[in-house]
Amino acid sequence: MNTTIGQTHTISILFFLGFVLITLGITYWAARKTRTTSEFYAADRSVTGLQNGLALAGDFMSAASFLGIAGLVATGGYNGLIYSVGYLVGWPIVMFLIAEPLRNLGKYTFADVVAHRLKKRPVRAAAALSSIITVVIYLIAQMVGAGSLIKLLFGLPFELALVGVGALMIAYVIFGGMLATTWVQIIKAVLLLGGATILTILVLYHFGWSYNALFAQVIKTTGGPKLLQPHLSLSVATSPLDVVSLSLSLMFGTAGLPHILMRFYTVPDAKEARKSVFFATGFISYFYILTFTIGYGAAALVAPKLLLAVEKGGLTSNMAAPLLAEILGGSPFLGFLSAVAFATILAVVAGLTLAGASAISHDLYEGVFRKEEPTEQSGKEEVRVAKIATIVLGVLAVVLGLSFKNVNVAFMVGLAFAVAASANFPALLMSVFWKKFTTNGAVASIMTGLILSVILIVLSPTVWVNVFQAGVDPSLISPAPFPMKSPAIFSMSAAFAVGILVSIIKPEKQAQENFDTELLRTYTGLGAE
Amino acid sequence: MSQPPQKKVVEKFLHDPEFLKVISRRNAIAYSLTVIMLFCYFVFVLLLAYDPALLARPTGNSTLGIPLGIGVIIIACILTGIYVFWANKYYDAQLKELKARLGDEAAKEADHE
Repeated sequence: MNTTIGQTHTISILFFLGFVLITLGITYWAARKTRTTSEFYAADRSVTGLQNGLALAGDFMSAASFLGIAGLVATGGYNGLIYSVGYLVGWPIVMFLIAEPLRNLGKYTFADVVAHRLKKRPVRAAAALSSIITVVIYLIAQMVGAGSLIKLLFGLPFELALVGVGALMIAYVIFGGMLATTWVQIIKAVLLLGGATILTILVLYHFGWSYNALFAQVIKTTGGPKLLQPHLSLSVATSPLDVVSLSLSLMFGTAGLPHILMRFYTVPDAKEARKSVFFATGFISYFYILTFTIGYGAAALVAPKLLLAVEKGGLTSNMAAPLLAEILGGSPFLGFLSAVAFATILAVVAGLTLAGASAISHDLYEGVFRKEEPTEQSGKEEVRVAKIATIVLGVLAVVLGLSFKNVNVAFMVGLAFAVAASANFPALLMSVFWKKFTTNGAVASIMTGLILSVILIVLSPTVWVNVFQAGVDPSLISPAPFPMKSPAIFSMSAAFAVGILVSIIKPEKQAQENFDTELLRTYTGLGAE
Repeated sequence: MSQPPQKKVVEKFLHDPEFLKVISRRNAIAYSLTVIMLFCYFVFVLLLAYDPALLARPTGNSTLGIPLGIGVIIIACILTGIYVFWANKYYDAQLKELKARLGDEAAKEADHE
C-alpha cells in the first residue's frame, strides 16, 4: 500500500493549531499567577496528586517512548518490552525511597535535598552541573527526535520545525512557569493516552480481541516467532552483563532525572506526592501495555518492507505507530496522531527546559553565587535569572538539535538515564539515608558518576565504533576500549563507593549533627516548604 | 511556610517510643516492598541475560517471556498501590496524631521555661 506520511495533512494542522491555541491560552492565564519563585518553579504547590500524576506521566511518555518503543517492538520484538519494564520499575523505587524525603526536605530542585544538611555551595555546584548535563543530553534527544518526526509527519523542513518547537516552549516556560508547563503536560498526557487507546482498540478489534490471533499474525507476517522471543540483540546490549547494566540504568535513572524530581514540589505535601507517584505508575504502565500492543500490531499488519523504508536519521522504525494508524484509522486518524506526537514533544521539552533553568537560577545563581540572605527582592531577581536561563537553554537546544541532527535518539535517552542513575541518584540516596555522608563525599560521588558514565560511553562501541569510525572499512575498525553499551553497573557502583570512602576518610561533624533535624523533617514534614 | 523544627522538638520526637515505632513500621513496609520489587525485576533481568531460552519457551502463540514481562509491570503497580493505600490511610493519620500530641507537649514545656 501507499502511505501519505510526510505529506501535510489539513487535519493534523488543525489539531495541532488547536493544541497550540489552547496551551497559549493556558499560558496567558498562568502568567498572572507566575511572579514569585514558588509560583515560577512549583506552581505555588497548588497541583493535586491526580494532576501531578498525569503531568509526571506526561513528562515520562515522550515522543521517543511512544514512537520509539512501538517501533522497537515492531522491528525488534521482545527488546521493546525490556525497555518498558525497565523504565517502569523505577517508579516504585521513587515511591518507597525518594518521594517523601524529596517533598519534605526540598524547595525547588533535587539539589536542595542533597545539600540539605551539608555545605550548600560545593554540593549545589556539583548537583547543578550534573542536572544541567542530564537535562541537556535529554533535551538534545527530544529536539533531534522532534525535528525528524515533524519532517516525516508534516513534511516541514527540520530547521523550521526545531525553531518552532524552541519558540513555543520558551513562551510556555517564561510566561507561564511551572503552572503552564504542568497543564501543557496534563493535556498532552490525556491526548496521548486517548490516541494510543483508540489505536490499541483498533488493533484488538481487528484481531477479534485476541492476543493469540495477533501473535499468530505476527508469526505469519515476519516468517517466524523470533519477534516474540527474547534474544540478545547487539543493538541493545553486547553481553549478559551489559543487559544487567542497562537494567540498572533504566531502573535507577528515573530516580535521578531532574525534571521528574522537580515535579514533587508542585504538590502541597507528602500525601499528595505519594498519590501522584501512584497515578503516574498506573498511567505509564497502561501506556506501555498499549505501546506493546501497538508495536506487535504494526509487526503484524504493516509490511516489513514499509517499516524499514521510512526509517531515517537515527530514528529506527519510529514510523511503526503512525503507519499502523493510517492502515487502521485512515489518514484523519494519522493526522490526529501526528498532532499528538508534536504536542508530546513540545510538552516534554518545556518540562526539561524548566528543570534546566531551575538548576541554573536556583542552584547556581541563588545557591552558589549570591552571598546575601534571600529576600522578596532577590526572589524577583531569581525568577528573572530563571527566565533568561530559559531563553538561553531554548536557543541552545535548537542549536544543539541542529548540530546533532544525525545522532541516534534512543541512544541519547539511554545516555541521559545512565548519567542520572550514576551522578544524581547515589548522592541523593546517601544524603537522605546515611548519617555519616559528608559534603566532600557528595561532591566526589556526583563527579565520579558524571565523569565515569560519560567517559565509558565515549569508549563504548556506540560512540567509539559507530560515531568515531562511521564509514570506516570494517576490517580496519579498532574495537571499542569499553566493550559494553551501558556503563551504569560500573559508574553507579563507583559513585556509591567513592561517596562512602571519601565520607569515611574525613567525617563531617556538622553534617552528622544536622541529621536528626533532617530525619524528623523527612518523616513528618515539620519545617517543610 | 513553617520554621525548621527546634532542637528540643527534634529530641522530643526522636525520644518518643510511639513515634519511633511508627517510623520503624513505615520503614519496614517501604523497605520490604523495595526488596520485593528489586527481587522480581532482577529475577526477570537475570533470566533475560543468562537464560533467554527459558523465556523464549512457547505458550500458545506467545512465549513465556511476554506474560512475565507484563507481570513485572503489573507487580510494580500493585506494590505502589499497596504502599500509597497504607501510607495515606494509616501512616498519615498516626503521624498527624503524634504531631498534635508532641507539638502540644513541646509548646507547654516552652511555656514553663
